[in-house]
Amino acid sequence: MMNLLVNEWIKFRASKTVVLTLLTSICIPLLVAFVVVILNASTSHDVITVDDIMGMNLRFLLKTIGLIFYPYLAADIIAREYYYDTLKFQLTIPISREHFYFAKVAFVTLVTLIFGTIHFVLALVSTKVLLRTTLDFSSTISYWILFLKGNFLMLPFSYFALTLTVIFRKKFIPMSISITMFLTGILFSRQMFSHLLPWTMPTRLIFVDRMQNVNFSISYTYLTLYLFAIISFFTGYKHLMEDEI
Amino acid sequence: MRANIEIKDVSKHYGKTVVVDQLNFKIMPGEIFALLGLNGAGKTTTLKMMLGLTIPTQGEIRYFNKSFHENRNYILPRIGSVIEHPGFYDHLTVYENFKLITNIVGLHEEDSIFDLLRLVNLDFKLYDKVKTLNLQEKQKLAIARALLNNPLILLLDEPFNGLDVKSVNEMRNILMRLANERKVSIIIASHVLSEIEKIASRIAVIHHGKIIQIFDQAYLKGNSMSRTVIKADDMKLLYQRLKEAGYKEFLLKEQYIYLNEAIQLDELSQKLDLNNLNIIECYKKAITLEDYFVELVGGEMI
Repeated sequence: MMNLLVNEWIKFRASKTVVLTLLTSICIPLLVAFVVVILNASTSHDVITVDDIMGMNLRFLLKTIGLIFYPYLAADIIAREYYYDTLKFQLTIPISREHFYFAKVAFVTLVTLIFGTIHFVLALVSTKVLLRTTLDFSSTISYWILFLKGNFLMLPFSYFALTLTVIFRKKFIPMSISITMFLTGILFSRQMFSHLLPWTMPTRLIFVDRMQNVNFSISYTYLTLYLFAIISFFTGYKHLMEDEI
Repeated sequence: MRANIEIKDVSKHYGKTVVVDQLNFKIMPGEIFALLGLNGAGKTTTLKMMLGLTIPTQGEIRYFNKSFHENRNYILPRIGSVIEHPGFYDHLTVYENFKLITNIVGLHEEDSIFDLLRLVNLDFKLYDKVKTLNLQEKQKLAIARALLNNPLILLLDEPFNGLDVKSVNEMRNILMRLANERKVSIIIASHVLSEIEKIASRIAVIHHGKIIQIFDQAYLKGNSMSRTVIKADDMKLLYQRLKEAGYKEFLLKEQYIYLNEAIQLDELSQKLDLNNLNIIECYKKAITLEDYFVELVGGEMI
């Protein structure tokens, strides 16, 4: 399994996606910093706190990278095997289909968490530069955990995109479906039943629940999300096991 | 001697469509076995079943006297394959592409990779990105990759695709050396009949998923494979007279009639009513694999 993860890294590090991911991770803290500077310039009495900056960073992370980019990343990691027609050979080396699939899921999870951490570090640096303040160790750790939790919440959407790519063997259709589901989720995010729809979660979290003191305790939404992740994971797994390559 | 590969009553159905129908054959060590067939005949599906990429609807595949289904992890590392396209990660170098495999199979990569690339004359491309290679180089690379684990069995789907004459010659020599010296059993599915004729020790013609004949080189060169080629000024009349004379099996190809037996002109003129019929050409011809293949899978039958 470790060798498969190393292989995934070799494939990933030379792809354009890695540059895109890094750029996105760098751009968002810069964008937040830019917005904060403008806010401070226009409203003199505005008091920007560390919570504000970190919260903005996290919301941007969930809205842009989490909603669109991580699913794209997951779709790309699987789709390239079909695009380059490399899956057949790998299965005959032999890599078992189970290991192949688990390695992909593990790699998507790892990359999500690594880039979430990079994003966090950049957000922390920008906070320090903008507010000229230093965070103590326990605050830093609690913000980091918060960012990781935010990234974890995005994983079901990545698994969903991964599963759709296993089924359709291309990334365009999974991405179209993912984006359509997110847009539909925005429409229903203020409805009572929105807890049941995983796709309403990011919008609810950002605009409706206002992140509720950034408390990610288990609620109906999260249960739905984890259920969604499990269903996506096993659907993709089952499809790959039975697929005629 | 024990067969390296044994295919027993293997079929593959997709719903009501039968793609492969009751295949049976054995391949011995050192044998080069060719699967010939038109597009969609079932060659690639057969190879995919032999690699576990597709599950047979019925039948059994055995390697080294072991069931493939029950011993996949023992058998697959002993097989090298090129199926359909030479799939590589274009954005990686040749070395990185090979390293992805050596990471899994646990070889001492540097030496093995370099030796294999030298074998197919691509050693100077080791650190080039695969996207800079042309189709021919990719095809050679795919064959080199199939040899990475020192296989006892090679399954090659259209290995001569996109290769020029020189490279085809090189590939042929490599494959023949593997079969003769290392006793590797090789299955080649190909359209390039001229190459198959030179390289294969046995040939199976597969049509609509069924093997319609298996023959060896000796059979192809034997007397029974001679044909009488006739051309007359009036081909319709010739056809009619041949039928009247009792000839039943013949084939029309490029304005010639091919009789399924070798006879001399004298003999023909004795049997045939030559009234109003002028024979322009009549000669005996040893048929090529291509001629025979066309006969088997249905040329333009009269």
